[in-house]
Amino acid sequence: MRQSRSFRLGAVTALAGLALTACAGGGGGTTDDNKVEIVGAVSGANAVALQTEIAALAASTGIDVTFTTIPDFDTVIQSRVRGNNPPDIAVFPQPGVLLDLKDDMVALDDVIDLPTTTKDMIPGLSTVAVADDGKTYGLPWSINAKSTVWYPVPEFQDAGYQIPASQAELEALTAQIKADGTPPWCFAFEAGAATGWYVTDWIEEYVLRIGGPEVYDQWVKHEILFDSPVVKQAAETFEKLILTPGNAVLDRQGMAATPWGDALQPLVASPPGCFMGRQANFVIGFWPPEVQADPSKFVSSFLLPPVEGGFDGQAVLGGGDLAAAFNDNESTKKILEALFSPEFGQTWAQQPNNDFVSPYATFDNSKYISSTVAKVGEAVSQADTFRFDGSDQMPGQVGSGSFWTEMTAWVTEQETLDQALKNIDASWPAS
Amino acid sequence: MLKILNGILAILGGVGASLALFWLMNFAVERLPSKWSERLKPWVFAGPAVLFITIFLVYPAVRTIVISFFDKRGENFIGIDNYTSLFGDSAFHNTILNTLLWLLIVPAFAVATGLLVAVLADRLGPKAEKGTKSLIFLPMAISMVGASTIFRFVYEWRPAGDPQIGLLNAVWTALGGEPQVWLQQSTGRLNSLLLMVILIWMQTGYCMVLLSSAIKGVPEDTVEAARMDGANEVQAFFRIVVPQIWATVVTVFITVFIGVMKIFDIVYVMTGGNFNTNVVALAFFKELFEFSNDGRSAAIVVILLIAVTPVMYYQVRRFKAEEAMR
Repeated sequence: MRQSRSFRLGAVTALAGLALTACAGGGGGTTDDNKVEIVGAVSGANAVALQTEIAALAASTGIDVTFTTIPDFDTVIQSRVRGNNPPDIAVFPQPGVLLDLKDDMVALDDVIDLPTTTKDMIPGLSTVAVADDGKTYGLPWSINAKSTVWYPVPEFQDAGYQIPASQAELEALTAQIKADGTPPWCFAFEAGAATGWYVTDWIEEYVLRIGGPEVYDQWVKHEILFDSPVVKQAAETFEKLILTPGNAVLDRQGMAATPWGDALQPLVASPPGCFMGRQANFVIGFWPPEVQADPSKFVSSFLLPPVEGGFDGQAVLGGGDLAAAFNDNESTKKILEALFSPEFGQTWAQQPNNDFVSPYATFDNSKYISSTVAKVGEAVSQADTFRFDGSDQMPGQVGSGSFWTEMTAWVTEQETLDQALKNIDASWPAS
Repeated sequence: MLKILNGILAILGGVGASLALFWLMNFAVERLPSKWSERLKPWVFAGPAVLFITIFLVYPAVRTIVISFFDKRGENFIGIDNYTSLFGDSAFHNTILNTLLWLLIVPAFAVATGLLVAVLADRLGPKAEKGTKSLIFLPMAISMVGASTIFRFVYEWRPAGDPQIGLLNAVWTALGGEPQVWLQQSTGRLNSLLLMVILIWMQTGYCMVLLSSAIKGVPEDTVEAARMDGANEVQAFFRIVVPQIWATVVTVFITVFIGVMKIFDIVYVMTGGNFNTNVVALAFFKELFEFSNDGRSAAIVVILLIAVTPVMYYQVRRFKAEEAMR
C-alpha cells in the first residue's frame, strides 16, 4: 500500500513537471534585430538554388536574411500565425491561403512604393493578392507558366509538324499525330490528396481562352457559376482534346492512377511516346538527369494558343510564389524592396535545376540557365494577359476541395459533367 | 547546446517545483485537525490531476461545441447553419456512410480473424505457435502510413501490356483479367473495402494476442468436462470457451471500434478521400487545415463526439459491472 501511493505520487509529479516544461517553451516576439526570416514551400533542388540567391541578398543588404522550406506549408503557416509566431516574410503558392491570413499581415501598400514596384510586372500579376479592402497583401517573386506546351526536338520538326496558332490548328495537329500512329498527348494527374489539380488547370486554361480575362475573374469570384455555358464549353474543349480515346497515352482511369510527375516522361523517351504535354516550366525538374542537364537538346515549347471566337490575344495561365509580410520593420522593408525588383533572381536563375521565372517583363532573359527556360520567360513576358491559377484563388473548400475532387470524379466517369459542375456550385461557401 | 541545457533545466525545475508543491500541500493538510486532514488529503493528490483534465480535456471539448455554432473564422454566431449545411451535403452523406461501413466491418473482421488465429495457434506446438503469432503480430508494429504505402504497391496499377508490379493486378491478369485501377472502383464500395483490408491486416495481431491469452486462461477442466459429456469441438468452443472469454472479446471489439472511428491515415495516403472513400476524420482534417473553416470542422467533431458517446457509456457501465463482480 505504502509503495503504491509513493508510485502514484511520483507519476503525478512527473506529469505535472512535463506540463510545466511545456509551458516553459515557446514565446519570443519579433523586433527589428537585423534578421529577416523568410519561409515558403519551395523545395528540392529549386530550394538549394534559391539559397544562393538568399546568400547574395544577405551579402548585398547586410541583413541576416534566411529562407526555410516548410513541408506541408499551408498547414504549418496557419498554425504558426495562429500561434502568434509568424515569420517576417512568408511566400505563399496560393493567394487564397495568403488572403485568409491577411488580418495578421501588413499591407504592402504601407511598406513599399507599390506603383513603381509593379510598373514593369507582367500584366495581371500585381492584382492577384488584393483583398476586399483594396490593399495588396502579396506580390510574386517567381512565377511559372502553366500554359507551356512541350514537344520533343528534333522529332517534332522531323515529322513535319507545325506549331499551332489557334485551337483549331491544335486539334488538327492532334488528329495528324494520331493518324501517324503515336498518341499525341501526355497527361496524368494522380497527386495523392491533391488529385485533380492538373485537370482544374486545363479547365482554367479554356475558361480564360474562351471567356477572356474578365469572365475568368468573375468565375474565380463565383459571379459566374460553374454550371454555366462558358465553363461547360471549357470542360468539353479539354475533353475533346485530351480525353478522346487515342488522343493520350493513358485512358481516363490510367490518368487518375498515374502520378502527375510521371505524366510527361514518355515525351522525352526515344522514340517519343507522345508529342505534346502541357505543364509549367517546373516539369523540367521531373525529367531524367540527362534532360535536366541540357533541356534544349530534348524539348522545346510553345504557348497553348487562343481559341477562335474567344479572347483575342495570347493569354497565359500560371502560378507563382507570392511574398507577404507580417511586420514592417526596417529590415523587412529593405528585403521586400529587394525581392520585388527585376534584378531579383539573377543568381537563382543560373543555378542547376532551378524553377525560377521572373514576374518582371524587364528581366534580363540572358540570365536564365538554358535557352529552354529563356524561351518560356520570353514568351510569358510578351503575353497579352497573365492570369493566376484560379483554383488557388477560390475558397479552400472549392479551390483545393470540391473543384479537384469533382473534376476527378468527372474524368474517371463516376459522375457526369453537369453533376460535377452543380456539385461544385453547391459546395461554394455562403460568403 | 544552450537549448538542450535549457530543456534539462526546465525539466529539473518543473519536476522539482511540482514535488515541492505536493510536499507543501501535504505538509499543510497534515497540520489540520485529523478529521479535516482525512477529508482533504485525497484532493491534495487528485486535485491537480482533476485540474489538468479540466483544462486540457473538458475545456477544449466545451469550446469545440461552442465553436461549432460559429462561422468559418469562429467569430460570428450562425446558429445551426454548420450542421444543416453538413447534413444537406451529399458528399458528407457519403462520408458518414463510409465511416459507418468501416465501423461495422473492421472491428468485426479483426476480432473474428484474431479469434480464429488465436484458437488455431493454440493447437500448434509451442515453437510453431510462437512463430505464427509473431508473424501475425508484426503488422501492429508498422505505422498506418507505412502499412498504406505497402498496400499501395499491392493495389498498384500499370497500363495493360506493361509488367504489373501490383500484387493484386499481377494475380488478376495472370487469371486472365484486364488490369484494374482498384482504388477507383467505387461500385459496391470495393475501394473502401480494399482500404479496410489494410486496417484489418494491422489489427488482427492485436486482437489475436489479447484473445489468445484469454483462451489460455480458460480452465482446461471445463472444456474436458464438456467433451466428456459428448460435446464436439465446435460446441465446446462456442458454448464453453466463448462465454468465458466474452468480456475480452467485447473489450477488444470496442478498442478497435474506437480506433476505427478516428481512421484517417489510411484513407489520406491511399485515395485522399477521392472516389467515394472519404471518412469523417479526414473530412474534419480537410475542413480545418485545408479549407480553414473552424466552425464546420468543429461541427464534424461534435457529430463524431455524439457518435462515440453511446459506446463510451456502454464501456464505462460494463467496467463498473465488472468491478462490482470482483
